[in-house]
Amino acid sequence: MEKILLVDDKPASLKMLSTVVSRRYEVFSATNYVEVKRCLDTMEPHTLIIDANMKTTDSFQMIEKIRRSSREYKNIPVIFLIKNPVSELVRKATALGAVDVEIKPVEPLAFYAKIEKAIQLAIPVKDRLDEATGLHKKQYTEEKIQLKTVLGEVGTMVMIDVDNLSFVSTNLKPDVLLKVAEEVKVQLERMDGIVGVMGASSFIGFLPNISDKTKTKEWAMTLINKIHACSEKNLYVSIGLAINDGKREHYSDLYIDCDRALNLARQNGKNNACYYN
Amino acid sequence: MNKTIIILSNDLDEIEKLKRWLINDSYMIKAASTLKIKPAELAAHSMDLVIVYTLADGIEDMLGIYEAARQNDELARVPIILITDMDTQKILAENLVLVGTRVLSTAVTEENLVNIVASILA
Repeated sequence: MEKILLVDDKPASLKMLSTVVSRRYEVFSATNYVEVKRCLDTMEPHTLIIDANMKTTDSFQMIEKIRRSSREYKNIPVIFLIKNPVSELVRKATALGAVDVEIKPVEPLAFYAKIEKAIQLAIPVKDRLDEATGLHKKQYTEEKIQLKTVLGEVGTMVMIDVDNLSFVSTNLKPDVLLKVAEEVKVQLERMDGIVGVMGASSFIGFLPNISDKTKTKEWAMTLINKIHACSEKNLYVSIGLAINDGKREHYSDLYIDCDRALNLARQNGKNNACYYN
Repeated sequence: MNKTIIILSNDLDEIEKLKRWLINDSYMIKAASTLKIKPAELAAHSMDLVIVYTLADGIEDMLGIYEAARQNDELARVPIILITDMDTQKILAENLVLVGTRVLSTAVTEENLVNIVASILA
């Protein structure tokens, strides 16, 4: 889970914002420079969110000091929380390399979207993206799906295995892997889904707000056809599907169901999409 | 047509009190004595208004209810009334905007609440 450092000198506000942010991220709190520095050194947060209207300290000076104190913190994404969109404050924040300015009071869902953008900047591309396909790495994608399970979001988990893909892309057509990865990405993102690689020739994803088996199977069959169109050489596609009904307690249950469904799809013959139950 | 009100709180006494206050031929009142409602459980009910009663310790669960409602197509526009203590009300106002949510103090009177509910459901 990504780590967020919240800075505010008002304990009540800090607690309230921490309650919000901790629903999706690991949160550390600090009220002054010494605590901020300690958290930065020990917790290595991905993003720092700081109140720009603190009374006991100048948040802009604090960020400047942090940026100067170490090369490591020079580029840490910072979101300034400001009470009013005063242009002077926005200008100061931007000058200090703030990735965003959020007006307090914040709307939680919009706030998460801003934090997510900031985090993307904090995690180096090499740590986030798979070199061969440009898709998110497995661990990164799984963390996102896991969070959806914890939050009880309804949707369908997807595992896609493309048999023969490694052989074809390694020995015959190097661009086929990229074409297939792009197609998988397009088909998942068309449904507002998330996607990443699972192995050299397999992918993992999540389709939010979709729990209708007929619809997801239709979607899966479309994907199979699209993958076939990526190469004149035979690619055999198996797709495992598992519904997250929002009531599962553990991500591992969803993962196991999806994995079983994938095995069932493989056993039932090539180019198949299955649910486990 | 009857309007459905769902009351959520960890406090059974408060649920009973709110039910008594709002009892009316035009309303169908449902209640759950927990704030730990999964999004799918919330979405399983059709509703016209959600009333959440909680003190500061239940705000995180209340946020879960808020997120679940606002992220669900059918519940996205369902109004929410949050009844909480004055300190929490003040801190919430300083820090959070909860779309479609009216935050009331636990000091709200029966008459006030009945009028607010009536105006929301009108």
